[in-house]
Amino acid sequence: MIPLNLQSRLINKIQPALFSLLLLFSLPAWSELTIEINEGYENALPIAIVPFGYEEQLKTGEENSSAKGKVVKAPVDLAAIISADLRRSGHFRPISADSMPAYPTDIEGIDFIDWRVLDIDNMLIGKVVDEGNGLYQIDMRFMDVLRKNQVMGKRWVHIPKDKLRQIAHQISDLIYEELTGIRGAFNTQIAYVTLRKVSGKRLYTLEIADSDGFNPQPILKSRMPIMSPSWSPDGSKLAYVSFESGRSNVVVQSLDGKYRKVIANFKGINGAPAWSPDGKKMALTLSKAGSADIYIMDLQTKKLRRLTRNWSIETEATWAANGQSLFFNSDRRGQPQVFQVFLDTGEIRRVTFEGKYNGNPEISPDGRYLAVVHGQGGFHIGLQDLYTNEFTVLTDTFLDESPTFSPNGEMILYAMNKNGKGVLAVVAIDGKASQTLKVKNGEVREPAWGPYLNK
Amino acid sequence: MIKFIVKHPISVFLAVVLHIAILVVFSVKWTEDTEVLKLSTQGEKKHEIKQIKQIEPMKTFTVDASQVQAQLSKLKADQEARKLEQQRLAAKTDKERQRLKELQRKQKLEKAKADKAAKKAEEQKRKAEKERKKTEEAKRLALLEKKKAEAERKKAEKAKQAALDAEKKTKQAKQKAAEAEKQRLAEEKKKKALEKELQDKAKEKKALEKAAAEAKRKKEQQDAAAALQRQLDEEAAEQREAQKRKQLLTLRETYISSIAAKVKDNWRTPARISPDAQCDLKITQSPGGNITSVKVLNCNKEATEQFKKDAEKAVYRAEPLPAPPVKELFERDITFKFKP
Amino acid sequence: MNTLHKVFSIAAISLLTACSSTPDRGVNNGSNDPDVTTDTAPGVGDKNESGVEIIAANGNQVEGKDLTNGQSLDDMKMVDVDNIYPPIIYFGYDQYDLDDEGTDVVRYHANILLENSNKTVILNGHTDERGTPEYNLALGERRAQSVAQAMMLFGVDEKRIEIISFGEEQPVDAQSNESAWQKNRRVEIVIK
Repeated sequence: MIPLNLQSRLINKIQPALFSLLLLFSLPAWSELTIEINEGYENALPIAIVPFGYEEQLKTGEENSSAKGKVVKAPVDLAAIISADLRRSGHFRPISADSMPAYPTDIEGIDFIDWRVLDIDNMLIGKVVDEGNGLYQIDMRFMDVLRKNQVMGKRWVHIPKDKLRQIAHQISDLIYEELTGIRGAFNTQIAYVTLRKVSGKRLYTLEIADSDGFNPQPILKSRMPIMSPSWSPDGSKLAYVSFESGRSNVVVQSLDGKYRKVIANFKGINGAPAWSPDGKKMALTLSKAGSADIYIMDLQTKKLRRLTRNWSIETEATWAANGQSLFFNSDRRGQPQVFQVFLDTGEIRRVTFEGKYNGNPEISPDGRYLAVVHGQGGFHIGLQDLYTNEFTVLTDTFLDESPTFSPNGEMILYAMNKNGKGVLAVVAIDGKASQTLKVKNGEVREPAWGPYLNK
Repeated sequence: MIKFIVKHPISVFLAVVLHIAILVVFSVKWTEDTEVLKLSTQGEKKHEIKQIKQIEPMKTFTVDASQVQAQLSKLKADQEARKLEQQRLAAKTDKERQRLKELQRKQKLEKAKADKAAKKAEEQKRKAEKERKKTEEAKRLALLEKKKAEAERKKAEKAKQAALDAEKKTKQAKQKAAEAEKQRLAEEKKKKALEKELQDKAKEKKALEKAAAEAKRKKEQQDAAAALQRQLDEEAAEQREAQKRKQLLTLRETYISSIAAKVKDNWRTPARISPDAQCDLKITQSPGGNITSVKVLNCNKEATEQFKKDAEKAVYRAEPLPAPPVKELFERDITFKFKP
Repeated sequence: MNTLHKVFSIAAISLLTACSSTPDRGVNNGSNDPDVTTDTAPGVGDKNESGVEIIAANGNQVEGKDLTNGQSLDDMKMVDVDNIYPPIIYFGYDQYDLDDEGTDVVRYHANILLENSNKTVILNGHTDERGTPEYNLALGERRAQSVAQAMMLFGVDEKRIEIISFGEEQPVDAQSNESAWQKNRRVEIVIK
C-alpha cells in the first residue's frame, strides 16, 4: 500500500511515470455481478434451448474403455448461458430443461411433434466435443419446429475452455438476430467502477466484465476515486477519470495493460472523456480557463480545440453518431439541460426542454435516441427521440444515473441506488424489460457498455 | 520516486508482479474458427390435387306451364264436343254462351293470379329461411374453428347435407302440393265442362262462324297468358340462381376470412414491427388444410424482412387451416391481406 | 500533530453543536454512519495534519458585512473574536453561493493565512450524490472557486490557493437522505 502522505506530496507535481506502478493492490477474489431480472415482455416468445451434448473424442485402446459408462458433463453449460441471455432480453421465454420431452443433440433425434405441442417454434440443439489438450469443438443447430428444418448450423473448433462462455454468447447473438432482425449484443463487455470498503478505507476498482456480469476483471484499483469510463470505438482501450494524483486527471489505458497514459492533467478539473466515433479525438471537460468547458483533443497531436466559452458549467460531452456534432450538459440557463454544438459552424442549440434537469446525455448507436439523467422530483433515465422529439421517462428507480446504450441500441445500462447501495440496472429502450446487476460486498457505479467485440 | 521504491520495496514488487500478471492475462489472444454447417432441408411433401366439383344447378319446376298445357288440351276437347253438339242440338243463345265463357275465363285468370301470389310468398319464406340458415352457419363456423379440423369438416359437411336434404324435402312437398292442386282443378273443370255440355244441349245452335271466331280469339288470349306465365317463371328461376350464387360468394368470403383470422391469431414476434406493416399472403394448401407453400406479396413500406419472415411463420403456426363450410368451396390457393 | 488535530476537532464540534443550527457539523466524527467512521476523506485528513494548528485569533477585528453584496474590502471588519471556525463551508442544493455563515468561515481562515504567510491553502469542493457525477465534479469546483474568490477578497494571494473538486465522490455521510446530503455539500479548507 502506498502511504497516504506520499500521495499528498504528489498532489502538486504529477509524475505520469508513476502511474504505471501505482495502485495495484492485491485483493481478495472478485465476486461476480449477480443479475436479477425484474420484468420481461408479457408475450415473450417460448423457445427451447436444449442442453448440449458432450462427447469425448474417440481415443485409442484403454483410454477409450476407461471412459465408458462415465457420466461426463461439458465444462461449461452453454445452454444455460444462452437461455439466460435470451431471457434477459425480455423478448424470449426459454422453457426449462425439466419440461423438455427429450434432449436431442442431432437432427435425427428430434421428434418435431413433441415440441410443437409445447408451443415451441424454434429450438437449439448442439454438442461440445472434447478435442483433448484442453480444446473443444462446439456444434450448434438452430431448428424451425414449424417447418421441420434447420435455420442455421455452425461449428467452432479448437476453442479453449475459458472461451466457451464467449461462444455461448455468440450463439445467443445469432439466435437473437435471426428472430428479431437486430444484431445481438450478448457477446460484449461492460466497464464499471466498484466501491468497496477494505479495512475501513474506500477502494475503487475499474472492472470489465461480460455483458451478463460474468468474468469480471479489475483493470485498475485505487484508493482515490475513479470516474467516467469511456470505451474506445474499437474496444481495445478505456479512457477514464482518476484521482490517483489527488485530483482529477484523464487517463487512457489499453485493456491489455500495455498502454497507460495521462492525457489531461491541466489546472482545474479534467473530466468526462468521450471518444469520437473514429477513435481519433477525445472530447473532454476542462476548467483550465476558469470554468468547466468542452474541449476536443486530437489524440495524435494532443492539440486542444475549445468548443464552449461560458462561465456556466459545460460538461458530459458525447458525440453524435456521425461525429459531426456533440451533445453536452450546460447550466447556462440556470439548470442543467442538454445542448448540441456543431463542429463545422460552432453553432449551439438547446435540445432538451422537458423538466428541470437533464444531464449526462448519451446518443444511441443509430443516432436516433438521446438518453439523459432526468431530474424532476427524483432522478430517472429519460429518453428523447431525436426524430420526433418525443420524451419518455424509462425508469422509476432511485437516483438513476450514467446511462449507456448497448451497441445494438436496444438496452440502456445505468446506475441506480438500491437500499442505499449503488447497483447497475438494464432497461429496454421501450421500458418494458429490466434487470439489475449488483456486487456482493460493495457498490457498483458508472457503467459503460462496450462496442461489439468482432466484425 | 527512487526513495519511494527503497522505502517500500514490497509494495513496489507486488505492483510490478501484478502488472505483469495482468499483461499476461490480456495478451493471451485466441482466434475462433467458425464453420457453417450445411444441411439439406427436408423435402417438401407432395400435395394432392383434388378436382373441384362442379356445382349442380338447382332444379326448377314449371308447375303453371303444364297447367296451361292441360288447359289447352282440355279446350281442344271442348271444341270438338261443341262441334258435335252443334250438329246434335239446336243452337242456344249467344248471350248465354258468352256469359258462361266469360265466367270461365275470369275464374281461370283469378286462379293463375292466386297461384302466382302463393308461389311468391313461398319464395319469400324460403329466402328468409335460407338467410337464417346462413347466419347460423356462420356462427357455427366460428365455433367450430377452435376444434380439430377433421371434426370440423365432417360436421360442416353433415350440416350442409342436412340443410340440403331439408331443402329438397321442402321442394318435394311443394311439388306434391302443386300437383294435387292441378289434379283438383282439372277435375273441377271436367265437372264444369259436363255441366256446360248439358247446358249447351239446351242451347240453340248459333252461327258456326261466330263460334269459330270466338274460339280463335280465346286461343289468342290463352297464348298471351301462357307467354306471360312463362316469362314470370323464367324470371323467378333466374332470381333463385342469383340468390344461390350470392350465397356461395358470402360463404367463400367467410371461409377465407376464417383462414385469415386463424393466421392472425397465430401471429407473434419478438421483433419490433410497425403497426402499419401489411402484406398479401398467398397460401397454397392441401385439402386437409396443410400448408404447401407461403408467398408474401405486395408489401407496403413498413413491412420489413423480419415482418415477412414472421408473417410466414404465423401461417405455419396456423396449420391446419380451417376447412371450408362446403366441400365445393375448398380452394388450393388462398390470398388475403395480412395486417396483424 | 494528530493529537492536536483531534483536540481541535472535538473543540470545534462541541462548540458548534452548542451554538450553531443547521447543518449538523459533526462531519469528521460521522458517528451516525458506521461505514464511514474511520473514513475521513482520503487525501484530506493527512493534509490537515500540517494545516491545522491552533492559532488564536488576534484582536484586530473589523466589522464584517455580506461579501456577496460586492462590497469593497476597505470597510470589512472582523467580528466574533472568540469563535473558532472549523474549516468547512456548507452549501444549498445545486448552490455555490456563500451565505453569511460561510463568509464568516472563509474570513476566519483567510485571516489565519494572512498571519501565516508561509502557509498555503487547498480548497476541496464536494457535492451530494444527486445529479450526474461529472456535473457534480464541476459544481464542486465552483463551490471551491466561490470560497477562493472570497479568500482573495479578504486579501489572500491567489497563488497561495489551490482548488480541487471531488464532486460527489467523497461523501462524509454515505447515506442517501436529506441530512447526509446536507453534510456532503461542502468545501473543506485545508491550510498547510
